[in-house]
Amino acid sequence: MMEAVLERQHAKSHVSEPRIDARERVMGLAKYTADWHVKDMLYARIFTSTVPHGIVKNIDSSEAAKTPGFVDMVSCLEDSTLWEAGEREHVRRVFADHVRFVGDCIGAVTATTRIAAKKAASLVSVQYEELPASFNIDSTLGNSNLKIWDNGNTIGPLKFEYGDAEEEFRNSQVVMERHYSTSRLHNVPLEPAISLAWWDGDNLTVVAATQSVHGCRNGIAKDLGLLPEKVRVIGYYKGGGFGNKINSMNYDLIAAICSRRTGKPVMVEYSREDEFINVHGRWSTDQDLRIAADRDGRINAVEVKANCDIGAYTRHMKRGHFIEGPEHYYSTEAWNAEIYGVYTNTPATGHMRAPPGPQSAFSVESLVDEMAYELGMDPVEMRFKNYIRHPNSGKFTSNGFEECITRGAEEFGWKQRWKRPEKQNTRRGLVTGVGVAIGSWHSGLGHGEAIVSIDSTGVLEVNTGVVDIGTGAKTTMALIASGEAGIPFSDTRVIWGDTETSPFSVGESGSRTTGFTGTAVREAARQIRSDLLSIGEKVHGISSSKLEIKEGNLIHSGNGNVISSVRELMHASGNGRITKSVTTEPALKEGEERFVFAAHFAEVAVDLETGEVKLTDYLAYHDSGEIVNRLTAESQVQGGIVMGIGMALTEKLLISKTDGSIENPSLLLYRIPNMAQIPKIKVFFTDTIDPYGPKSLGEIPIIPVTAAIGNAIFNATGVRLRNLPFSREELLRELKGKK
Amino acid sequence: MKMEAQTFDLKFKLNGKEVNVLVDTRETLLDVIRDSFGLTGAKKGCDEAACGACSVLFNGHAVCSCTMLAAEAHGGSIVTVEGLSSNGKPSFLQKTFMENDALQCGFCTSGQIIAAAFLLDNAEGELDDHEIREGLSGNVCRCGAYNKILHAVSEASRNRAVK
Repeated sequence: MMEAVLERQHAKSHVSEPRIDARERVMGLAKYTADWHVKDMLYARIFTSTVPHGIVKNIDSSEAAKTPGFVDMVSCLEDSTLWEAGEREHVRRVFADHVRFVGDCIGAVTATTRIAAKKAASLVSVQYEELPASFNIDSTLGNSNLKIWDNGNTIGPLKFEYGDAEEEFRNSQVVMERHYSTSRLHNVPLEPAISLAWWDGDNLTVVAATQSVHGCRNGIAKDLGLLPEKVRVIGYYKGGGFGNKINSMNYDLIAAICSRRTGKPVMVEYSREDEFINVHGRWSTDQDLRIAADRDGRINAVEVKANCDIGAYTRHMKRGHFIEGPEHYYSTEAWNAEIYGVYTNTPATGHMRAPPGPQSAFSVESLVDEMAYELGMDPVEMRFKNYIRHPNSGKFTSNGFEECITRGAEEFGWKQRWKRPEKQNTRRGLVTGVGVAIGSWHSGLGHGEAIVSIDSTGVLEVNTGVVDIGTGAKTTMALIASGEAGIPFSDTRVIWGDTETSPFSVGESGSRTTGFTGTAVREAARQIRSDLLSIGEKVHGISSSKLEIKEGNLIHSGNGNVISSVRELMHASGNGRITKSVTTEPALKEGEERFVFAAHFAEVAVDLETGEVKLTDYLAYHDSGEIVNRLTAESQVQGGIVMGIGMALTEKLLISKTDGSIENPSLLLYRIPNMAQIPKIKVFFTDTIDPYGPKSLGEIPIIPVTAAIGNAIFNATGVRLRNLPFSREELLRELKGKK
Repeated sequence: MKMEAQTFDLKFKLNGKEVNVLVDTRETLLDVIRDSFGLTGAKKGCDEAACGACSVLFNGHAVCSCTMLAAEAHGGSIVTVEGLSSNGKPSFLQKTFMENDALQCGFCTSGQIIAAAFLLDNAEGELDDHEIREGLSGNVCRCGAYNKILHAVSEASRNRAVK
């Protein structure tokens, strides 16, 4: 019994290693793209549309050209390069001749200094033929003269259905209908968009702030009509991305174009304002939901109808899945969704951490909570009763959802802390309440490549194309290799972030790196260990089946004695470096589905006089399968929750009603959470072991957050807030209404 | 009004060393320490003193170098994150950041460490969590490493109090 407990604790403790690159990051030595300085480098700044919708008729650069330091101007009038040609639902030019929002990039000015580039860019004068424009969903849907895109102003509907929803709504005992909305948001990576490019003959080098060097290289090559091998993309350190630095960005193409024209290296720098306006954020949603349940708490059907404001351009959203996810939280008899993406003459939208995840979880997890209170049920019991055990057809490769919900509730002390809200409005001052929300997310498997080698000194070298935008990917790859090969982490080195030296990796998006690239690393490291054992057999005359490699030593597995260090073994073998280059292509078996799961618990304190909401406690319980590095995994979960807290309480892009421009493109006005707003966030992981290895982690933490907080606010105050971010004004108004 | 480029012969102490450089009077301190001295630890996150990534110590006070003209540093003393370590060895505070994983992408980290160093230098006794939270609330971290930054600074503060 005791042994079993110890083993379980051991499994729980996992590895917990500081980042392999922590030293250079804390000492200010890590070189991000902006920290590069190459000889004769020029600076480029973009200039953008001042009208929401129109055709560029004329561009006058005569004043700009008088600026001391001015070198070159390029615009839509002479350059028609497409960004991501053929990979979009619409055509997007790097320099728009048909501008579709205030801030759409028209051209760029190159100069000898950044001050000159900024000044010259501000002096370019553009004339337009203006076109009818729309700044919100209603005006797009109601305006027949509007032509944001020739093939229609909407994407969709995306219809997703199973079961007979109408039948369930007719026959269920309780039906509720509610409207929810979420706001336009921005990723706000702290490092604004930036790219540095130079040409050597017809070879292009780009130092990019990308989430994927290989994706970036392939995109640039395609758009500029180059062979991929003619493009080298370097990306060693990134200041975050959260989905808005995926693959090649338009500013990478701008740097390449400006460099080709001027014959000099060119660095394109976006200001924070440019970053807010010209790099995509999250779309907003307007959602009508219906839920059908029986009095015992069984949820029979959910229906979602949503219109999403996707701005003038959307990226990588061809399938139109602007709402997605909650169909994998619950086992309902029926699920029905009808989703439209609606174009408006406002800045672009695209991926932001779990792209449709938190918007979808907010509405569904709020509504399930509303139903729980309607039925007089404990919200945790409601989740427990309905959480998904098996997918509609087939089976999950692993499912730790139950542990997330039940153990999460125990660790949080839910039973002691949750009280039914009654007569809250008669109280004054500070009231507290608790809320729960759950969520799931996909956990893909796919193409991975890795080169792992061990040299004659016993140092393990792990070469992958990861870029590590802050996820800890480099450390994770090193830990997987070190654990599998039996070499100490301290003797493990990484090579990464350069298409010239590293094999392909999907990059840090879609929570994929550990599952895709990590699988190849594991296999390559396994082959290294196997070779070391064979060498051990040859050198020491002991059957390899009786040998092990542990902590850099060759061990006799029978008696546990150290036979030699790996370093001595490598030396004795006279072999020199052993290298394993591996490509893996793991795939699910027919009928298998692979998901990660989470349950979140929040406590809030609400000031009934001011409407201020303060997070006072937070607990997250996650099933992401085996955890490679407890320390960085916990950081990722906390980070997703912090971003979710921003979405719940403070973040909103304000879109002008008169021209669709962003009214708060500044960190002073678009408030991301600061340290004072963040409570202690406790993170737990289940013991789930998935047959395919570690599951995904980076995106799911943001998914349940807004609903967990909203549900806690309801528990504290009796007021149900259905629009994000939650506003004090709405809360105070509702409180007043209840009196 | 037309702003023309004027130069200024700037002299100041940078990480303990007297330095001088000819700057454009319009240049910010951040651009000068990064471009002219190659000290790229301080980062430009917002260019309007809203994020704290560019924090440096100016005469012992943590300031945003992005909204300070380089010329304003004339005769003063500037310490950047590079100036906190010695002989390539991270300071105790930098070590607590490493060990506690008080960073993710690392872009805000230099600023966090400078702001924390200022807080520690000016603390009377051990800092409590509230003081650290308030003291670092001008340095945002989009990766959300706040819990761990709090641990790291708290550990460094405890260590100082013991000494």
